[in-house]
Parts: sequence; structure tokens; C-alpha cells
Amino acid sequence: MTQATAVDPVTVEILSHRLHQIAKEMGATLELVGGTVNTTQMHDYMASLYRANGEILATGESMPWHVACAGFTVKKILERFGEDNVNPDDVFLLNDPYVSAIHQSDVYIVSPIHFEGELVGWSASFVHVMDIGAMTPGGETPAATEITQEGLRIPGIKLIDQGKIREDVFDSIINMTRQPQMVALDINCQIAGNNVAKRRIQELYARFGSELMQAVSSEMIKGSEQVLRRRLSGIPDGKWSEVGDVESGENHWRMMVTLEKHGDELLFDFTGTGEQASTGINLPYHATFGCCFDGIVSTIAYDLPKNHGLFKPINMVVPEGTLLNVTYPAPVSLNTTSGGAMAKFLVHSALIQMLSGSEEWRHEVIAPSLGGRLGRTAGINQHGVYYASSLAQPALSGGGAIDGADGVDSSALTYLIAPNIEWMEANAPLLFLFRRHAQDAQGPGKYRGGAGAEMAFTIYNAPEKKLHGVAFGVAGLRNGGRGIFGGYPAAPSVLVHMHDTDVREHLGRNELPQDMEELSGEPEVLGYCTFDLKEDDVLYYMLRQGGGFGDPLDRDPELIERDLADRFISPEAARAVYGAVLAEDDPTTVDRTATEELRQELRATRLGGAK
Amino acid sequence: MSRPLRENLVVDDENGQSWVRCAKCSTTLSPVDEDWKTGCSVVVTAPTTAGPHRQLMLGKIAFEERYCPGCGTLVDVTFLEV
Repeated sequence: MTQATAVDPVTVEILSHRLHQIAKEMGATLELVGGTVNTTQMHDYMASLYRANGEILATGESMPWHVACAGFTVKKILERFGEDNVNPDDVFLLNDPYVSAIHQSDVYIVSPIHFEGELVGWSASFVHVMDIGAMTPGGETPAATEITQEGLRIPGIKLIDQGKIREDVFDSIINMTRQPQMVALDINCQIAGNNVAKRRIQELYARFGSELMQAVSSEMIKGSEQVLRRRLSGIPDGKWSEVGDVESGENHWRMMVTLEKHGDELLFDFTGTGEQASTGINLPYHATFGCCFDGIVSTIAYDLPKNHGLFKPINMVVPEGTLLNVTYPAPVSLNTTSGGAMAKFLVHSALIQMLSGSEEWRHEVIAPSLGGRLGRTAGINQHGVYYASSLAQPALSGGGAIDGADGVDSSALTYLIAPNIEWMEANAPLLFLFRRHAQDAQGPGKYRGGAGAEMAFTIYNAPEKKLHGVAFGVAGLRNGGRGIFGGYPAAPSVLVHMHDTDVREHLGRNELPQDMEELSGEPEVLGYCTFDLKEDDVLYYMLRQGGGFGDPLDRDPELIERDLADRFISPEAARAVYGAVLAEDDPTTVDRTATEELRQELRATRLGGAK
Repeated sequence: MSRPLRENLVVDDENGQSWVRCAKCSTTLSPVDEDWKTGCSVVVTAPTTAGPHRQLMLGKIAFEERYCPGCGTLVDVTFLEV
């Protein structure tokens, strides 16, 4: 690599923006070439740029832990092949969680970028591919007890050799999945995105020269690190801890973290986390590190260029053989949305405690979330074709409240989007009864949590009169948003399988039930499992909702009126939870005087019942 | 001198000692080097206190709510396994 030299800050800023735009264009290309629900409808992908040694250079709008793990993937490819065997226009594929991936469904494609014969960087992407040949369609496999049941596992392979695709290898990979054409499309769109980034980077090097580009890259990383360290130095030192259980039925898997801050260094110590499980909630070491990176990026460094400089103050201890540093052959396929969600929650919660002690940062603290349920359906669709598809809705989750503002409604995961209902119904034999913001499900507070969606659907025009389903994501009743500083937790995110309902009778009368209580049938709250969705069944899905901030009795009546008008809260909850008295002649108007009197009574009642 | 600790709580320095107090009514919860939660009034409530959609939690999980003992301001809510 060319040695970095001094460069002026204006040039650094301009070229830094250019590199980030290239990363975004890389993602846009991936979407334009792609065609599966994960790429075009959900954005379950990552596209970023790396230096020659695998350090993160510039990220697109991507999930931070995948940004981190793709960097580890570049390093592993270099280790396996050696730089002498990394040639111009090669492309590598890796999806082994015991090397650097998180779970097999998330396939990394990494492309070296050469300029004048020298390796100067990498473009790297991941897509959650449509199938990976696991026991269960789509990859997440609740019944798996070891990784060999969770699909094909590739520790690093050269997929394209100096511009020539190895078709025998490519065909072998897609042939081991249930949807070879879809998986081929996923991989091809990644290659296309990587190629565009490679061409743009080479154009930049041709225009500005290798020496300047390397100097700018060094300055970008140094700049992020310096600002982060300065911010950390301004926060009081201390030690904070958080604990949580991943739950499913009778199973409780304990995870915990202790965060120590000394000066400008952070230590995340996960000692106390339980032994690895025989269910696929386990996280590999590098993914746990990615959770720490995610926490930093989402809190104290949210506005900084997301590059390797943000890695440097992070130190981590994770005992081997535990849920957060899994050893072979334990399963991992459920991990991104279970153990991983919990690890991110623990990291965020510990960082929130740290930031709460800082006068400068305490107003930026957001109520954390433990994530929510996810699902997948598979089977023969109305076009007579086999499909396996995510429900693809998590983008419609509610965000946590913050000092001075409610949580964001139905857009908590900023890098994800959700398909419209028509797209879902056109591609899978499903009929949605409703999809809307859930009422009264957010965590109440002076500032309430963001409202997430709730929805229900049945199968429709399915040739086999049934579909196969998979329930994953964060199970249990303590998922979703947590309240802070007197704010309440949100209602849990759930998947409820309603068996043997009278939904067909409603449809026969041209009625779409708008309330689950309109339907007969037996509800079953799903844990981590597979299930069959039959013609008379309905699946109800509550996404995660945001947690509240502060005492609900301190909520501004004007905000309550707005929530009543938007149906985020019911008149009953306005009174019972927020102590709001509604005008007799207008149930959307809060009577200020009567409300203050009622709130005083409620505060006195609280103390009357206290220990 | 009074400085904010978090929503509705402040740290007051007085006669060489520091105390965690309610920001609304100045009731003292604890010395600053002790757990201020021990100075709160505590009520265990059903999850439905926070609204509907929480019926599944009944009998399994409750809320442990902590109030300022002086004015009844809610300062903390945590889960409690039943």
C-alpha cells in the first residue's frame, strides 16, 4: 500500500463525500439489478467500501454490524488466498459464520479493487439470500441443533477469476438452494454493485492519484477516531451493566454486558452470558463485536463518517463457548434477530446509561428496543411457482422516545423499507385483512414510543391450500421497546396463529374483518417454530413498538389531542394512562383544567398504594 | 448547587454532601453515592396499566413502578417476573 502523506482538510472532505456517494451508488445498483423481496422491497443488504487491508473506509446506508463483518471477511479472504492470489477482477464469496459471516443466509461478496496493478481497496456487499439450503425454507431453522442443518457454508471461494465467472462453482452453489434463480439474482446484483463501486474508485484513483487517495483514506479514518475519542473523554468514567434473557416458551437464555469507560476507551465485557444453546440463537465473536460497533454508530457517533476509526476505542471480552462467542458445531441461523438483537439491546442500554450521566449527551438518549418478531411463508404461490419469502415488514416498527420528541412512527429501522401490500399479495398467495398503526401499543410517556404496525392475513388462491410458515425474531413477552426515566415499555411484538377461524365466511360476505375479535378460532402465540398456515387460519402480526420517555402524566395535552386524532391512542387510554379528561362535547379535545385536577388525584393515588 | 441527573431527578450539593432529589418537589431520595431507587415509593402494577395489547403478559410479568415519595412523579418502570 502506498504510504499516506499529508493532505488538506478541504480535499479530505470533498473526497470523503465522493466515497460515501460511491457506496450509496453501489447500493442503488444492487437494488436496480436485484429483484427479490429482500433486495428491492426490504433493503436487507449492505454495500460498503474497504481499504486494501480490510479497514472500513466508507459505508452506504447499511446495517453497521454487517459493515464490520464484511471488513473481517476481506481480512479472512486475504489470509486464505494471500495477496498474490488476489488478482484484478476477482470476486470472492463467503458465508461461513465460523469464519466471519453472521449466519449462512447473509452471503458476503467481496471484490478487490486494483489500480495500476496494485491492490488499493475492496468493495463488499451482503444480501440475505432467498434460500440457503437449510432444513427450513429461507434459512432460519428453529429445529436445527447444529450448523450442518442450517445450509451450505462456504469459508471463502473465488467465484470470479480475473473477470471470468466460474460457472461450475456458481451453479453448484445455487443448485443447493430451493430457489436457484432467485439466489442467482441475489448474488448477481451484489456482483453488479461491487463492480460499479470498483469502476468509480478506479476513476477516482486515475483522476487524483494513488498517493492522494491513500492519504485521504487515512485522514478519514483518523478524523472519525479523533472526534469519537474527544467525545468519550468528555463523558464521566464509570461502569454500567445490563442483563436480558432471550426467551421462547420455557427457555430463557441469559446474556449480559458490563461497559467500562476509562478516558477515551470502552470495554464491553460480556462475562456472565450463558453457555451456547442448541437452538440457533448463538452469535459468533465477530458478530458480537459488530453489535458493539452498531451501538457506537447509533449513539455517540451517529453523525460521524462510519469507518474504521470508530472501531479503535472498542475493546471486548466474550468468554468462548457462550451465546455470544459460539464454538462449532452449534447452530446460528436464528441469531441475527434473536441473540443478535439482544446483544445490540444490551450494548445500547449500557451506552444509554453512560450517556445519561453526561450533561452534553443526556438529551440525545433514545429509549432502547429489544427488537420484535419476524416471519416467513413458503410454498406454491398463485402462479404455480415455489417461493419462500420473508414477511418483510420490520421497517414498520416504532422507535424509542427521546427527550423532547416522541419515537418515530413505523420507520424505526432507517436502513430498511417495507413493501406495499399489493406487492406482497401479487407475489405470494396471501390476503391481508388489515395493516395499520397499532393503537395503544406504544410505550406511554411524557414522550411516547413510536407506533409500529399491526397486521393480519390469511392464505388466498394457494394451490396446495396451505403454506409453510417459520416464526423467528425476538420471541417472549419482554421484547420491543423499553421505557426510560418513568416511561413505560411497549406492548410485546407477537405472531399469533389463529387456527380454524371463520375468515372464509367473512370473505364470502365481502367483509374484511378489521378486528381479531371479529374472528372465531383458537389463538396460538408462536415461539421459535415452523407451522402450517391452512385456508381457515389467520396470522396476526404485531411489530415492535417504541418505548416511552418520562412520566405519562407529564404529557402535553396538545400531544394527546394529536394522538387521538391520529388514532395512536384511544379515548380510554388517554384517560387511564395519561390522566387526560376529554371534553364532553368533543372527544378529541382535552379539558386542561379537569385534566390537571385528575392528574393530581392520580399522583396522590399512586402514593396511596405505594410500599 | 443543583444539576440534572436524568428526567425529573437532580443532584443537589449541600453542606459538602451531594443528594439525589426529585426535580419537581425536592424530596431527597438518597445520597448521591447510594442507589436512589431505594428512596422511591414502589408499586407493582399489571402490564395493562400501560394500555391494552398487554393481556398476554398478565400472570407472567408485572411492572415495578417507582415514584417520588413526595409528589408521586413516576421516575422508573421495570419488568418484574410474576
